[in-house]
Amino acid sequence: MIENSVKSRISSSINLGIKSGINSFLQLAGIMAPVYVAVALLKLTPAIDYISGLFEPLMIYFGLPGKSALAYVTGSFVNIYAALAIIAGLELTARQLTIIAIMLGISHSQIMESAILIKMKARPVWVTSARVVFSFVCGVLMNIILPE
Amino acid sequence: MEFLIATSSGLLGLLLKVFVIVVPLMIILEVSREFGALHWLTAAAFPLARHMGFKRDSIYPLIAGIIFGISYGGGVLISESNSGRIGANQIFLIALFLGMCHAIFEDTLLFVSLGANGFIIVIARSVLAIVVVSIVALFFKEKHDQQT
Repeated sequence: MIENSVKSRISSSINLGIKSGINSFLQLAGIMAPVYVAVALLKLTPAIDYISGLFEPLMIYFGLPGKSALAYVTGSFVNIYAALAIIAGLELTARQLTIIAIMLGISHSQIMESAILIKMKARPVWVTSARVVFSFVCGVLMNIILPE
Repeated sequence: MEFLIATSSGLLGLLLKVFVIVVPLMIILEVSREFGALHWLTAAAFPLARHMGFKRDSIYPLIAGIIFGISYGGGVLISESNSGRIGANQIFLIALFLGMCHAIFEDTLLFVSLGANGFIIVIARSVLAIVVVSIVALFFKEKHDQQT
């Protein structure tokens, strides 16, 4: 009798988990699919190259070469994997890699993740702005703190 | 044509990953809630999380996001916020923390594989998230105290 009730509690809670898991998945998929396609289309345009050009002179404050702007902007708009492909070709020092890793760790996949924040009703403008600002702040701080 | 194939296969892979992580996360959440184990699961993190203004119900989605990433923690959050268990300010605090510090293993290891210092990356992101969220939570607390 007791064993039965435990079994039914297990199966009913598993069912509930599956139901809410699938429901969450559908909500996420509904936003992720169109945004994924939009980001893929964005990569075909010169927008990322253009914005990277604007960022190049700023990279020196993070102790990074101007060329790494493309990696940072690509990571911020697209995702970390796209940024890594560029970083791998840059021959950065361990110090520079650590700095850009922290900056990209804080600010990456901003288009996709803002869309998810909208779905979470999590004040996306505030969260996304905080990520951009603190990514820069940490980049500058790390450049000051970390030994050459 | 090449664009279509690359984009759709990339998207399918992403959605599959989300499904494979979100559904089990929700099953674990519901089963451990049913048997009162959720308290026990989150007990270790609670003393620190409480100082940052987090409530007990926020800890599971927070940990899910720190480990797996914002989409997966977000998947848990969508369901929890729909159920009304987690309030708007808590969701904002969770999103703010996760915005700066999520997928901590995956993101870090990707850069470590290129030669970055993983220890510094994890410490910098965690300290940033803890400091920022603690300060914002202080503001919420003050507002709350004034209302009551």
